[in-house]
This record gives sequence, C-alpha cells and structure tokens, in this order.
Amino acid sequence: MVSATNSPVLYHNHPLHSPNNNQPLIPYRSLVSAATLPSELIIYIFKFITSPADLKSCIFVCKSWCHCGVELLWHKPIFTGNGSLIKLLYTLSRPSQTFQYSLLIRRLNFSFLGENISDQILQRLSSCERLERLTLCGCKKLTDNALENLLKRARNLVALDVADIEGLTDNVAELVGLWRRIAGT
Amino acid sequence: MAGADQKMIRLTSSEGTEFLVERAVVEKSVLLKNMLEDVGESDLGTIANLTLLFFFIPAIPLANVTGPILTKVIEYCTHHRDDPVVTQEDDGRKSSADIDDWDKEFCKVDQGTLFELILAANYLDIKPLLDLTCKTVANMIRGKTPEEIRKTFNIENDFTPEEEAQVKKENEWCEER
Repeated sequence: MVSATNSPVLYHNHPLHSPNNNQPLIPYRSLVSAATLPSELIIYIFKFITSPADLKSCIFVCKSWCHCGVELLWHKPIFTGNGSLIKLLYTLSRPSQTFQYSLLIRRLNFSFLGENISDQILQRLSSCERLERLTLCGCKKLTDNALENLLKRARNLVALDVADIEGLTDNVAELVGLWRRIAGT
Repeated sequence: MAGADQKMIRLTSSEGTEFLVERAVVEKSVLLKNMLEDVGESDLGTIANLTLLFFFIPAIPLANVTGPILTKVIEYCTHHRDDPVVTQEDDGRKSSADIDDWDKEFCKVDQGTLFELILAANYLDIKPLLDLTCKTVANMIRGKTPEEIRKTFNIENDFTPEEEAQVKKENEWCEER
C-alpha cells in the first residue's frame, strides 16, 4: 500500500481523482441511519440486547429488522411458564409461517418445566432439525419413543442432558452413540 | 504527545482531508495494521524527517470515511492506544452496561455520526470501537416499544397490517417484561 513515489501532490490518491479506484464512495452523512445500516451490523447491535422482550420489540419495527432479529430471538427460546411453551408450539404448527421457525431453534432447556414436558410436547418439537443443545433434566414423564423421534432428525445435536428421567432405556443411549458416530466425534 | 522521531502515517479522508497520525494509533485498526505489516520502520517518515513523510510516501486513502468521522476515530484510537488487544475468542457475556465515562462521553454525538462511526469501525476493523458504538445503540433500544424505536431511529413500518399481525401472533410466546 505504502510505496515510494516522487509525486509531491498531496491529494494524489484521492479516490475521486484516481481512475482505477473501484471502491464505492460512502453515501453522504444524512443518508446514514438505522434504516440504511447493513443487516450484518444490525445483527451485531442486536447481539448486545440482553433482554428477550427488547429483542421482541425490535423484530416488530420493520421487515429488515425482523429478518435480522428472529434468528436471535428463536436461537434459545426461554419459557417463563407452560403458557409460553404452548404458544410456541402453536406457532410451529401453523401451516403458513413468516419464517421457518423450527429451523431457527438451536437450544432448548426444559429443566425448569420438568414434569410438564410430556412425550406429546417433545413430539411436536421433532421438526427442530437444527437443535444443538437439549436439556431435559428432570423431565420425568418422557419415554424413549418421543426422544428417539427427535434424535433421529436433530443431526447437529452436540449436547443432551437426560439426567433424572427413569423412563428412558438403553435404546436412547444407543441412538446417542449412533449419531455420535455420524458426527465423527 | 508524539515525539519528533515517532513514525507517522498520513491518512486521507473521503473528501481529501489529510491526517497525520502516529503509527501506534493507526494500528488500532486491524485493516491498516495489516496494510502496514510489510512496511519497515525506516520506510516511514517522522516529524523530524518531513521530506520523507510528505514527498516520498503516499497517504493511505480512506474512501469510506469522511473527515469529521475520521477525526472521531483518531480521537478514540489515541485515547485507547495503550489498551491491551482483546482476542476474538473473548466471547463473554455481551453486556451493554459496562461503558466507562470517557467512552460514554465520546458517544454523545448525533445519530448520523453514531451510525457513521459504526460503519467506519466496521470498515477499519476496530473491534472495541465497533462494540462501543453498537452497545450505545443497543442501550437506546432498551425498554422501548416498537413504535418508540421507529420514532427514535426514524424507521418506517413497512409491514402490511396482516403481516404485522401474523408476526406478532407467531412471536407471542416470548413473554413481555
């Protein structure tokens, strides 16, 4: 970049005067605003928003903010109670969705809901194929069947916590071994 | 203050304004640091050697950064010149609350400037400045309703009423405060 030149002209390198400079010029100041910021930077800003409620407000602002925010909002849904889980399941079951929400879910933790988690509920989450971490510790009502269905599809799973579930048998452990082998770990 | 034998770099803003900056300050920008990687110390001019500085070494043109913004960026990099370099892996809990007083004061600018600083920090690859400015915007969002956010940042609601209703319904599971 820096090389010796005999040119004493101070503004020799100014892009406007340089014929082979193909860097785009930045728009004038007044044009730079939240609405014109590239989506990668909007997402970067959203990563500093720690409250899900604030993030939720952001996705209702406009379409581009919505696209930027849903992935973060759904990445690791936090349920404050049964009601919010039911509403989420309802969204996943809708025939036409604005986004394919089930594929945005990467982490689920049901340890707080414990015995409220039934096979039926887990069954309805089996479309979450990109799930990476699943914590079911203390979900005593679960049996092999529902978990197997989910595990067969969630090929990206890297962590599974099934502590304290007496209904599970070694079949599930076998399945875990199976996808471990697929993942090559 | 820059000593007479400090290695200096010339930077040119988009409208052609020149800035004379110490190498150590310039190198807060990863983009410029990489550019200067192969440049030896003896190839750079100093205040004591103005001929070399002004006649033989061209300025680095920053076509994406205006003069007023470059002034702010240099102010930031000068203040933080001795900060330790934060590694990329340092992905701790991103908190928007821990901004020190100098940085807070630095970010008291109009919104256009703030967003231009974000673009410049991103282009020049100055992560601490990018984090600071983005945290500042995140703080401006905190606690606001969608309508208040639109007003704050002058954003048009481009959802149709049907689309808006559907997105609201789909995300109802996420509890309000």
